[in-house]
Amino acid sequence: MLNVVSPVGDWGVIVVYLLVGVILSVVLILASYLLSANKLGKAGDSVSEKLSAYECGLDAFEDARDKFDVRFFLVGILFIMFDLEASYLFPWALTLDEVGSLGYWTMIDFLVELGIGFLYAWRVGAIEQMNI
Amino acid sequence: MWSLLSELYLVTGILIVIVYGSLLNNTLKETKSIVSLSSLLLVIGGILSMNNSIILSGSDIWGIEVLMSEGIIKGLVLISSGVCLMNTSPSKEKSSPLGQIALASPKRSRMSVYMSRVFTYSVLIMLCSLGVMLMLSSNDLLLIYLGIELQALGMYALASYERESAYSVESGLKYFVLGAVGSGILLIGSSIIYSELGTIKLNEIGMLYSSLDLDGILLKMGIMCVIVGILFKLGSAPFHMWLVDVYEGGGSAMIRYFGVVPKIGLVSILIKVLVSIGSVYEGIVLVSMLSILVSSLGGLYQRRIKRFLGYSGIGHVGFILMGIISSVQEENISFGLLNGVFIYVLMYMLMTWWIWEIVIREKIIYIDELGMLGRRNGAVGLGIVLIMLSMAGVPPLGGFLGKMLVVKSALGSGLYMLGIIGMLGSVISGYNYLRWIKVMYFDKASLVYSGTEVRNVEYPYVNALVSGVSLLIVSISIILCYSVI
Repeated sequence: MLNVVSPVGDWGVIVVYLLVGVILSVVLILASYLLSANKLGKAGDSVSEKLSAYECGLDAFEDARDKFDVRFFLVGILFIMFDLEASYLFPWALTLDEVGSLGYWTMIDFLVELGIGFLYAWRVGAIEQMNI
Repeated sequence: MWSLLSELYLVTGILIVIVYGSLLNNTLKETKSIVSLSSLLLVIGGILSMNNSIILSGSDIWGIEVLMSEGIIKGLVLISSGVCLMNTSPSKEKSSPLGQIALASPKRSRMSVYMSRVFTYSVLIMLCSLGVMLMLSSNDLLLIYLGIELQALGMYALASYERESAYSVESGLKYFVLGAVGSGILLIGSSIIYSELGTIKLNEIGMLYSSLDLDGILLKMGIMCVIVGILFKLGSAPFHMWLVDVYEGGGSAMIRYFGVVPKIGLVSILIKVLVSIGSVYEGIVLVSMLSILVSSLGGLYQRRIKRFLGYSGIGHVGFILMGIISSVQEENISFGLLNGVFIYVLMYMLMTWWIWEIVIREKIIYIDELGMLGRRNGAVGLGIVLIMLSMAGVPPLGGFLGKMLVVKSALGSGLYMLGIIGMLGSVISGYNYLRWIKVMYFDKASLVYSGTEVRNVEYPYVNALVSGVSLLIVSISIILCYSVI
């Protein structure tokens, strides 16, 4: 481990890290912008064409955005819930001898509550709609 | 273990209701039974949790001191939730709380979608109440945060429950973003307190704060952040911008719940935090003054009913804060010793219930649409008159009792500016409330309000009348009760 002894303690390392990161990113982008031949906004430049939407060579006639389907979001939420439930099972399983019967029944209660939540989500139709 | 009996009861009840509703939700009758079951559960839970009684002391009415325990607050919370969930006409019409939820379903809804939305509504209300109960039972800054978040998550979903209405969705979004900001401020205050004192339990914070005599600014900032976070969620000025929009956009049935129950919980939390610290910052005095002024001045130009009620809610919170400050300032502080705060909260609860009940049943948006309502429907008119006068603080109604006790305690503990601004704000808001009465009795009948529709038989006239008279009765009974003691 790097042992930095300085008046500002360990925070100096972080400041240097921050400064180097900021300066490097700024220099890279700024240099490419300033030194490029064709800049944005000038007539006849090659950049504005590059930035426009592509629609097989024709002009774009409709917005390319689609309505966001909430089923994707539901998949994400349900995944988080049950995956985190499963991941809480692991440390519990390993330390069961230290937490004893109170810890056991607490986890059982947790599983039961999430199970009832799963039953609710199932019956309400949150899982049925995911027939992608 | 047994001290958490009411929370355990509520959790078990919620789980049973969820299982019951998921499996047996096939006919409308079963749906109605779920709602009745939930509201009954809440009310019984409320009665069960009132395990300590109010101890009243004081020789005459001018010295009312109410020793309040947490059981009473929890009981009030649960009973209010149960009442907000109850409805007398579970039809699909807009003139009932349940009907509003039905209309919140998508347009081409089958029966089952309606039923699932009704069922979800009951479950969400119960979960919000559970969050408030957790807040109230906590001795711990972290558990306070958990309770606030549990309640707030339910309310975010409820505020945006009418998915077809852009107003509702927008208000839910605003509430969510600003609620997250408030929680963030609360959390950073808690972490600063932990870093300075090494503990997050309120009683230990109180002991350390009084004994260590720290002079650092960081600890004070931490405590201020916690208090500001709670005030943010209460909707007090200058953090009040979101409240008015949420009141306007959210469905009326949900906002009726929102105006009562989370506020009771947050006020109790604030009292707990202030009592454990034992001192009051001048910032809260400023917040209280600003809330009262913003409410009275902001309500002057309001023409929509729900926004008006939002501003009036801000003002009531300002008065409650006034009562809290003046009672914490005195030397003998405990959780329950509150001059007038409890009575003000009780009156605020009653007023908010009843006025929102009337707002839910009437299909109007603007105050001007109330024109000639007093002549057309005498009972509703009288009910609204009594509620409005109570909000304005006219004796012998309930609101006057609350305001008098609060302002008296403020002047008694030396906060003269606060008391004076409170009275000035009350005078200005008097115009706001009296304007309703004027519109109801002296304005032309509105063209938008179709007076020719047949009055719904399921909305008894008695309902509105009882609401206003109850304020009268409760106040007079308290006064008489104290004169006798």
